[in-house]
Amino acid sequence: MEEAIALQAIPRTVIGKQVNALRRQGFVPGIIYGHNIDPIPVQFNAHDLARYVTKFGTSSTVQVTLEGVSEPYLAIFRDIQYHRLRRAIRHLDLQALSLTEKVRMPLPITLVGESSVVALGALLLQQLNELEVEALPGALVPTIEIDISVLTEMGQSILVGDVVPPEGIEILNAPGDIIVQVTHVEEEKEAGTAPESVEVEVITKRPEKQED
Amino acid sequence: MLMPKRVKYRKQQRGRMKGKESRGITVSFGDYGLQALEPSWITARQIEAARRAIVRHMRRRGKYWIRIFPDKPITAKPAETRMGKGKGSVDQWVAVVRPGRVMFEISGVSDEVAHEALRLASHKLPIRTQVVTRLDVGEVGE
Repeated sequence: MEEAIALQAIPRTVIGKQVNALRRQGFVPGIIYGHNIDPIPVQFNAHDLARYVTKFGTSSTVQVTLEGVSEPYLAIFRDIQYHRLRRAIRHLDLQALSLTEKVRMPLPITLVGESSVVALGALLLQQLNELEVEALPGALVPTIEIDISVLTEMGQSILVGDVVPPEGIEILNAPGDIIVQVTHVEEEKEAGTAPESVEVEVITKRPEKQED
Repeated sequence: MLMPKRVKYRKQQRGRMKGKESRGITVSFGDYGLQALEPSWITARQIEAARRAIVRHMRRRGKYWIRIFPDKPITAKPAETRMGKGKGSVDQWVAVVRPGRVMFEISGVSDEVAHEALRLASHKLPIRTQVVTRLDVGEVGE
């Protein structure tokens, strides 16, 4: 099992729209919930949280130590709301885990190795960045590694079905989904001056219903 | 240039561009994106110019996505025409963009090439923009 990294949280009493005041003071509101525990409103130091997420990402399990509570919570990041322009974290949902219950979460994909055909100028196109998995918390890993050195010909791809998951992890994506693919780079046709005024068809009538 | 193939109504009213974008605000397909910081109409010509700037700089190496589509017809009256006689004819097509919208995305190129390609594309657009990546995390945000 990966080692959970600690994150410090403070119990929160401010709720509703007043949390904007918290954000101005440098805190990020959040909540911890899970099976068999009541939801706990919490707040995090914005600076520490941003550093944590930048360094460790959001795919690993986290030990949340809550002020006034002796036992830390083992949790995963369930949802993060970002500011749409500044990308600052506005709110954080943490799901407390039970070591005996399976959990579903997305795990990021890391490509390892080098593909010989990519070195020759082909385009490596990653279509899936995350895999939806189900596992016991003890079996979770921070990332799923996929070796792309098997891609030796143009047009080859690695499907979800080709991935051998780490022990104890079940992948829930459809086996036929493409994760990564080697393709030709599309040739850009240098069109001359495109016709400026092309008539656009106006839909005037609804298509008549076909009778059975 | 991009434009719809068929429309339900030939002409539209101008509308307003209040508020910020709530959809299309994350980098979804590629690794880098060009995000709008101001509201504006982006014309099909501007989109095409930005696209060409991206393609030229990437030199057949990566893949790009255009995430806005000019589906709003803008009418104009011919020059030196008296007022009246109804609404003008369709002059151009625009995409309505509000702050936050990721307009272009790129993948398959290095960090420097992606930033430079998007910087060149941003100069073809009438608004302030920023380059964003899929994994960006900011710190200050109310």
